[in-house]
Amino acid sequence: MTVEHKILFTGTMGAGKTTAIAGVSEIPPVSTDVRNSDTSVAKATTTVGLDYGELTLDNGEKLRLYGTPGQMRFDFMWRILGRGALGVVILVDNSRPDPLADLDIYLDGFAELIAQTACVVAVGRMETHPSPGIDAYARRMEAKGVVCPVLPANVTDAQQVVQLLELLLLQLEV
Amino acid sequence: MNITPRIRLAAESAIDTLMREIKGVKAVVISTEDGLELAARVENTAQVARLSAIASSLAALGAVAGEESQLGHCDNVAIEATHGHILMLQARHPEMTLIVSVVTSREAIIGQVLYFAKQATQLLQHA
Amino acid sequence: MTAVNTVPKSQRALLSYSVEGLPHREEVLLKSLIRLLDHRTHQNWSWKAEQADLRVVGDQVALAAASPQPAVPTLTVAHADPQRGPFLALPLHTDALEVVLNRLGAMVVHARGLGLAMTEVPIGEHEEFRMLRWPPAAVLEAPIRLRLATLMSNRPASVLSLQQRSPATRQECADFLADLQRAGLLERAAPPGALVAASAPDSVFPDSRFPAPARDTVQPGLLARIRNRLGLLPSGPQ
Repeated sequence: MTVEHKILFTGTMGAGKTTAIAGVSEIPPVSTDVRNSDTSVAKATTTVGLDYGELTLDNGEKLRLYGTPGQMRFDFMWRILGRGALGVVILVDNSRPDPLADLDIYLDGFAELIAQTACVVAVGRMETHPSPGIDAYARRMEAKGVVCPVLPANVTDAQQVVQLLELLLLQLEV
Repeated sequence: MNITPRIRLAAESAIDTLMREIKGVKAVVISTEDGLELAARVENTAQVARLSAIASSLAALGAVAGEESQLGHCDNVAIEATHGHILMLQARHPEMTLIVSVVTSREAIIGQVLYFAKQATQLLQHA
Repeated sequence: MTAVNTVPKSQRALLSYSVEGLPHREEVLLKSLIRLLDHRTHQNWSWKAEQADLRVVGDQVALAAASPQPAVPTLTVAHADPQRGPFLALPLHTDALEVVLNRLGAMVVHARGLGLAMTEVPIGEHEEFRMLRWPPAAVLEAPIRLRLATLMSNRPASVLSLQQRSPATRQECADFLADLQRAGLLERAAPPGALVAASAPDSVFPDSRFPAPARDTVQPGLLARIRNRLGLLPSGPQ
């Protein structure tokens, strides 16, 4: 299977997937946002297909950035979008009731991709919600046999998104 | 989900009609545009366990395809498979957009399916 | 790591302390105060059950005549000074605690430099290790360490391989592995060809620490092109 130039962003509704891609993409991101009917989450819209952004490399090739839907019922999209990806950035929202359980969903859902490529976990909203701490995330990942960078990040800051991508690329260097 | 009783009733009624009128129908599912099932009638529930989510993704991708090709709104997505068809239509009610998915065997006549499905969708939109 | 230069923050020494023979209330208070003081102490202190860099003891604890680790300082915490070495009076005060920690911490760091501190297994340059878990913030204080830890995320590394793959100096790589070892986060990697160790017995999930099924290598030059497009400096030694 050929390796496409693509990187995935995943995570729960409201974690910032669309925002992260928008910050880095050279085109306005294509999104498939629809009205959110889940009253337990205070967010107006949710991604049901994918978010798409891209960067053009100096030889004309494209690096494609895909945001996946966050809910488990869309895990068929996770499989489709994950095929041939260089790696995945998991965005976690620390203000949610059980962010570690949220993380588990994506560690499980993308287990094969993570084992074969690279992963970075970015925890958002830690300034206002410091718990669970980064070490709790590291231990949770260790329990799943995953060791990868986990750090606080505010994806509204494009530079921080670039740093997440850099940590992903570092893991792919031979 | 905050679905008004009126819409729910209209959805059930639409399903009744489609199951009755369409020759070769195997399932009708009505779901929210973010992939949650609202009402369904099926031969075998396993068939449609994730149809709501899949339909919402396809509808959304259909919308992107329509826009990118500058053809306007995507009204429906049709899938032709070895053993049957799936037709997914958008019902744009003022309160919320719903997706009507109709699964049929190969013996169904696409024209007929489209006709009744569009009619049901129209009724839903005005519920 | 990005094209913008930042002032490098140096890594504080990571030291450990054990507690014996203190009343429970004082022990809990001591641990809390040390955590609170972390932003002021010259070294980072974390509690360890035994074999720590510093022993904190109550006055009823007899000091071993011939300590197996002669350079491990012992701090007595009590109401009256038994005149047998470093002493901190009860009730505990943060200022006095900070002063004594910095003083004893400097001693430990000095002893380490002379090779006299807690016995540690020395790390050979070529020896390959696996990182067991993403390290805590205290271990990652210096920005270069974020990079080194990332390089160790999905494959084993040695001091030399880390140096080759990053702008870090040989000393920085060695110090990083030593700190990982002290934190209990390092494990010797199986030599190539050896049987792969089983992952945690209850784990159903593929263990990303171990060699994954063969995957396509990334197209040559692709990563460099992506780095270039994102405005990142090239990887490797600079």
